[in-house]
Amino acid sequence: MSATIVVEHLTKSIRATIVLDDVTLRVRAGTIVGLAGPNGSGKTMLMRAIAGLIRPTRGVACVIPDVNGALGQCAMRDASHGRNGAGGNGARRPRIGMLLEGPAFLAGYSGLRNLALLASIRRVADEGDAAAAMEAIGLDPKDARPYRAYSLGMKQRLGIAGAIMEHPDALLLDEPTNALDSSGVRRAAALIRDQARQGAAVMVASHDAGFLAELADEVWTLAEGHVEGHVDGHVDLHAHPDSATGESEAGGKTRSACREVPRDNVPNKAPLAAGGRG
Amino acid sequence: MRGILCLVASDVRYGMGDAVRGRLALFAVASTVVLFLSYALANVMIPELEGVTLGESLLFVWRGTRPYVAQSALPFKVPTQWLAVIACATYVCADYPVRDLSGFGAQVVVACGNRWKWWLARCCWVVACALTCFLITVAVGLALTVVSGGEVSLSVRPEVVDVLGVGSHDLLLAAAGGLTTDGDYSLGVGTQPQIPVIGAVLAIPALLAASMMLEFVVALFAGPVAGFAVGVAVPFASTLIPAGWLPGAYLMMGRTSALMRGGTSPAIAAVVAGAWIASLAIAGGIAFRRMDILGRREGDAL
Repeated sequence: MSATIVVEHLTKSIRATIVLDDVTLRVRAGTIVGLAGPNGSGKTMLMRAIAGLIRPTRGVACVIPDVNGALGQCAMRDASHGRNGAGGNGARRPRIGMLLEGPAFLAGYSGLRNLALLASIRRVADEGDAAAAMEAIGLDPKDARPYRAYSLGMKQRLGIAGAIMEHPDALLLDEPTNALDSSGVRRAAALIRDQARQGAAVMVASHDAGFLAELADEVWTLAEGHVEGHVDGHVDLHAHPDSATGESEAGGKTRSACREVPRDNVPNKAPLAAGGRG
Repeated sequence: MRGILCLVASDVRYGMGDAVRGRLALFAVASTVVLFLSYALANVMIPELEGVTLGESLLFVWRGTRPYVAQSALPFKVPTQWLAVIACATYVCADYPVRDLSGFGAQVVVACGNRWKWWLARCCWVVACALTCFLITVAVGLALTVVSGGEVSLSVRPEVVDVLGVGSHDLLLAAAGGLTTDGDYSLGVGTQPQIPVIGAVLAIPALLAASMMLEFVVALFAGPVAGFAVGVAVPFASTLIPAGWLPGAYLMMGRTSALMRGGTSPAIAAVVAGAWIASLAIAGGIAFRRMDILGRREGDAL
């Protein structure tokens, strides 16, 4: 099954602070969308809303299944409560893999035991899939050390393994390269690409301009909770090293690294990519 | 269904083992101290006491205090030892669910696809915590019973109840077979245990679970400090306010009908505990569906 991440006019305010302000974007199945922006711009909040962890004040954020080429209805109430998708078209609920605000696992369990526990909830993946995901990211699944004994980089790798082990329909990764060495970054990039090739709609937030440039099909820039810019197509952000944070060398906002889509012209009904996921 | 069972099993295993092991140990120490202090007091007051029964050991820990009557000349006696035990039990599950929700629990919520599984698993964990705390007091009490050479029975002697300052004197005198010497309140010593307190003992884990569920719900929505405060304040309020719907009323063995005229009934205790647990689980779960789950940094920042 393929699925699309749909965010439409999403506004979220928490304790009188507007953390997301009328954000509209879509991530089609099989594409990788980068999220750029300075700290506090709303990247993580946006991912939380998509995952159903926070409830929109206005608008919609959800993952909806694409059944027979048609986009399912985004059930607004359910989506905001973590019941993403399954909009009455008989499709199963889309699977979401995520790594938000750093990895978080049970400190006393080994890496494999943590992933096996997560896998046991949906029973889409088993311990073998968890072990395979760990190996793919460069961790030893036989490592019996508890999670608390892992280094920062190992914890991050385990977080990525947990996000991808079920081959999710939507993959939300917040700063996946944090604490990773260069080999870890390469592995992570390869795995993310692989997930997209298998049909996942991928959203990656990162301060690493090079990583986003190499990986993302398009990049959305957030600032103070709203969409500041949108760059479509592969972008050479190496030529604009600060563009991932939304600022050019001159201190202004990056608006046109490749093809800028003005905020008012953001397409609301992007066509779905043909997905081959079951 | 299997998914949620795995989650509950993992929560109980991990949540008990790793997350709150130190706090359970603290609870065990507090219970032991309270138990031995009360035992020492009873020994001083009744030199012929010898061994204590399991029921008496549990009474040492969970006795509470006599009802407070404002018009009475008797001052309110704060049940410090009982409150210390309640506070330590409340501390056991003060913040683990909240910490979990801003970390691994968020992944579990997303993996579950709805929030009820996480919620129900946590409710089970809280009930398991309450049972564990109760069983710790049983284990510590049993150890004292065995060491002191007492009888392993859920009965208490009237004179032991009397020296602890709980129970109705006329009831205790009647139970002691009218063994009076010089005054109304002088009970004979050396009688065999004769007041069964099985119902009072069984009510404790149920009401402790209800009290800890209340703390859990408050902690989730208002923070662990507020949860802990409510978890201690509500049982404390029960010592002052004679309200049958407050869970603390049934957490005091000294106020049960077995030991006090007009005391609490174990059957009503079961109903009150069930009502508290069910209503908190349902109302809390509904509110939890609408709750924003923020990370630690975001929660702090906002």
